Amino acid sequence: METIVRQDILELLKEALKLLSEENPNVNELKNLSNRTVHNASIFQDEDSISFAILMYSLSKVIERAGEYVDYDKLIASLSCAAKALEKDQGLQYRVCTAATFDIVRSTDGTYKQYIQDVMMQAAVKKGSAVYAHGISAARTAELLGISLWELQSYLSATEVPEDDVDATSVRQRLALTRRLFE
Amino acid sequence: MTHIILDSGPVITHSLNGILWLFDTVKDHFGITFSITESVKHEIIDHPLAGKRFKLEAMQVMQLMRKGTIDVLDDPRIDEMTKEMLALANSCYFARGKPLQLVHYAEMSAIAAFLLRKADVVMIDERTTRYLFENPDKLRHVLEHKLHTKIDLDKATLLKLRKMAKGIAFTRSAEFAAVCFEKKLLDPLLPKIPKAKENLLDALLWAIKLNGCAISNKDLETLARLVQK
Repeated sequence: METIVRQDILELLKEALKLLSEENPNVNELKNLSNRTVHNASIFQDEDSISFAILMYSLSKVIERAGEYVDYDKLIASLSCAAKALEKDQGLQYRVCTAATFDIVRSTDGTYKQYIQDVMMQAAVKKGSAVYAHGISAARTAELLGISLWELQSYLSATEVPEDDVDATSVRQRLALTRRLFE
Repeated sequence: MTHIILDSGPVITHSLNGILWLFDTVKDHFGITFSITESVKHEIIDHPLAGKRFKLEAMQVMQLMRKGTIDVLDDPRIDEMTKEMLALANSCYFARGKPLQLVHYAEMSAIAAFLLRKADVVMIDERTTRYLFENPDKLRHVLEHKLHTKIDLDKATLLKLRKMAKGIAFTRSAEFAAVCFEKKLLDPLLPKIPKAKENLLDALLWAIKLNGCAISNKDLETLARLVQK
C-alpha cells in the first residue's frame, strides 16, 4: 500500500470511528469521508482507496435507513482492527478487517438484505462517477469499480458531472467531419 | 464505403435513448458500415448478459449484430496493436511519480481497429481517450485541475503513441445524431407541437448528453445552433 494511501485512510478511519461512537452518527459526515479517498483512488487506482470509499458510503446509507439494526459495537471493533493494522503497516490484515466490516454491513437485519446489496452497487457506481469526473476514462473507471459501463453511463444521466467548457476539438470541426461521412 | 468504428459508449448511449435503430437506418440509407472490436463486444454484450439489469438492452444490440448492422472484428492484429498502444497510453501521464492508468483496453482496441482497417472515424463519447490524441495538454490540465496534483507528461512516449495513431479521427454520438437529424432520419419522431424541429433537436442532444456523451453545455448549444433545421 502506498504510504500516502495508508496515511489518508488511517486518518479517515479515525474520523469514522469518532462518528460511529456518537449516539446518532452523522451520516452526512460519513458520506463526506467516502469522497475524500477519490483523489487517491483516481491516481493510484488501488483497491484500498476504492473499497474504503464504497464502505463509508454504504455505511452512511445503511445507517440512514436501518440504523436501529446496525451492530455498532461489532462495526467499531472491526474498524478499530483496520486502523490498528494500518498503524502497523499491515496491509493484508487491514484488508481482512475491511472485508469483515463489509460482512457486518451485509448481515444487518435480513429485511434489508436486498437494500444493502443495492446500496453497495450504488456506492460503487457513485464513486465511479467521481473517479470518471477526475479524468479517468469511462471504461477504465467501470473496470476499477467492478461495475458495468452500462451502470456508469446510466448513473451519469442522473447526476451533474462537472465538465470542461469546450471539447478538445471544436464542435464546428467535428460536425463538418461527421457530415462528410454521410456523403 | 464509409466505415465507422464504435466504442462502447455510443452503443450504450443510443440504446439508453431508444435510438439504436439509427444505426440500421444510416446503414440502409447511406451504406455506412459500423464495427466493434471483441473487447468492446465483451463490455456491451457479455457483461450485461451475465446480470439482470441491461440484459434486454444487450439483446437489442445483439439483434443489430445478427442483422449485420454492427460487425464484430475478430483480428489478432487488433489485439497486438491494442496491447502496445495501451502500454504507451498508460505511461504518458504521471502523478506523484506514478504512471496514471487512464484508459482501458476496449477503448484502445477501437483506435487499433481504426488504424488497421483504415476506417473513416472512431465514434467515442468519453473524453479522456479523445483528449489523449487530440489535445494531450488539455488532458494534462484537466487531470491537474481535478486531481489537485502536478501531472508530468512523458513527451517521448506520447509522441510515439501519437505517431502510431496518425490520422485518427473522432466523432461522438452528439454530432452523429445531429447529422442524422439534418438528414431527416429522425422526422418520424417530430411531435405535433410548436417549433417541433427545434424541440426534437433539443430533446435529442440533451438525451445523448445526459446518457453519457461527454459534451459540455456550451458545446451542445453551439451544436444546436450549427445544425441545419
